[in-house]
Amino acid sequence: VILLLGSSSDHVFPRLLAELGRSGHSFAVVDEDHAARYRIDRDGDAWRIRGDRCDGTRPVKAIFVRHAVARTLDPDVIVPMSALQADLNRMLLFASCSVINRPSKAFSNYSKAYQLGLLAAVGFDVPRTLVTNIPEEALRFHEECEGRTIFKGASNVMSFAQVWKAEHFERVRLLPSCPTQFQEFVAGADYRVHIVGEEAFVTRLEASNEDYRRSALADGEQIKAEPAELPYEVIERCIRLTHQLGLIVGGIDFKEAADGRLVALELNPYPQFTFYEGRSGQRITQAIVAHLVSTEVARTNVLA
Amino acid sequence: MILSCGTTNDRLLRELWTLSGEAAWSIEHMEERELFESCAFALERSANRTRGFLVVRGRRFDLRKFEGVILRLRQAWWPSDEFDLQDQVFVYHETMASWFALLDSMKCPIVNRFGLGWWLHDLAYPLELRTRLAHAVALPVSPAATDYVPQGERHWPTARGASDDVESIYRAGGRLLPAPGCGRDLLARLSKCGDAFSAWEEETGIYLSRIDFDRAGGLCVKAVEAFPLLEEEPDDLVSGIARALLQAIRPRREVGA
Repeated sequence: VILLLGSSSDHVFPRLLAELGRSGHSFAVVDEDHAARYRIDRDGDAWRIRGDRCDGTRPVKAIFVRHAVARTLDPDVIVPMSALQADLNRMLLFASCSVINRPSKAFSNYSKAYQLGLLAAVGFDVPRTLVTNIPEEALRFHEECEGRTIFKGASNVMSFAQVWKAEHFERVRLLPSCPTQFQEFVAGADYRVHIVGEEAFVTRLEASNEDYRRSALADGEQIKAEPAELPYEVIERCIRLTHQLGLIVGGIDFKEAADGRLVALELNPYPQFTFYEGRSGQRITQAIVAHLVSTEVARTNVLA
Repeated sequence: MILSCGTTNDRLLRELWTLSGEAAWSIEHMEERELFESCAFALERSANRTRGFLVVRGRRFDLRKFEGVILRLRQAWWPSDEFDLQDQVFVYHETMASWFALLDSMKCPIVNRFGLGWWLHDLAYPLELRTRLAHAVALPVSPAATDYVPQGERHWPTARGASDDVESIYRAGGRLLPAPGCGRDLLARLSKCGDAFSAWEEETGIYLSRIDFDRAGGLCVKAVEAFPLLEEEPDDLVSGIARALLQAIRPRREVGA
């Protein structure tokens, strides 16, 4: 069977379930929103998942993971979810079958500035970036970027990129309380490149806001998303970086300036690809399911 | 200049300060709270350049000027409760992500150059270290330890336990230092694995560790502790570990015997 680990309230989960259903391949599900239903047991070398419709007997040949994110600080929700995810992560560390993606390989976008270094190391241009908790440094950087700067979170905790405007000068004095990432503002179209194994899907996005996710998610605006192309060497680098990190699937973001300069912004190891395919019509979910189904494994040690 | 970060009651840090003082080496210390709450820093990066600085006791130090960093962070810091809970979570992660990037950008030796799994309290992190090390030195993972899981919601630093079936050895600055009770045959066996240890250290960034071996039913790797607590260890062992680390940071300088 194919095993899906994630959240039924996430957009990706139901789309994958539907696509797996269409594929005719049997699958099992661990819905982390109902963490108390499941148990992970060691049995010699094997890991058995029991609970809900998992009886711990069906060999798992491939696993898709997109862990649930607790959207609450309620310990009654967080504690059992965290415990289940910790058990699953231990299992995934030893799982002999294919895993999209192993959590232990998926930490790099926790630190955006660190990840920019990885992107630069494979040859991508990256925006000039400053991480600091010093107001004077932020002001210097803003001036050196000729007043065209954006700021956003330094970690992968959800935050929107914002253009530094006049009203933000006052807030710079708060920096000693929390470091922030500043970047030169590269105006232009956004690209998202989804890598699935050796396959790439390029989506071009246009929105009124500098962060298209804000346009779509917070402001409820329509954004334009369409299939696109990028040079072969860009795609090749995207595939290489994804594999170097030990990932099978990745979503890499780019900005393309009016002068053709293409800068890499980040690599998301758990991309919400349904956001893009729902607008562009690209069949990313289908490619992921095809990858899962076509995986061959000599002997699996995960049973669901 | 060497930077040490941690708590003043950490025995290894105290030993390092003593040895550094004897050798008249410059070493600056920052408590964990000081590091995360009040140490001013900047890290600037572009496609082909990375630079930055730290402000330590009012003095600005270019990141390239550091000869080494000793990280003994217990990860006990949490933002002030003057922030509401959601903001505390946000400030915590922004701070950790920033410091990880800054430390990663430093080219000097860092003990330990912990992976993101450590910074994120990933319970699988010590298991991954153990799996990789066992593979590197061609030993199995202890069957009794396959269910070994750090207790609680996160992995806290541990001291060596007392068990007849377990032998421990420290790896510090490229040297093996046996803990009391470690047999000569184990030391001899591991001494042949120098290249494998070095490759594992290079891969994981862990240059100080305690490795526990299970003797019951054959020699196996039981656990790898990347933040060994040394409070109960003999003086000469702690001193040996500190010397080995300093020697690794400043290989061309003598550390007092």
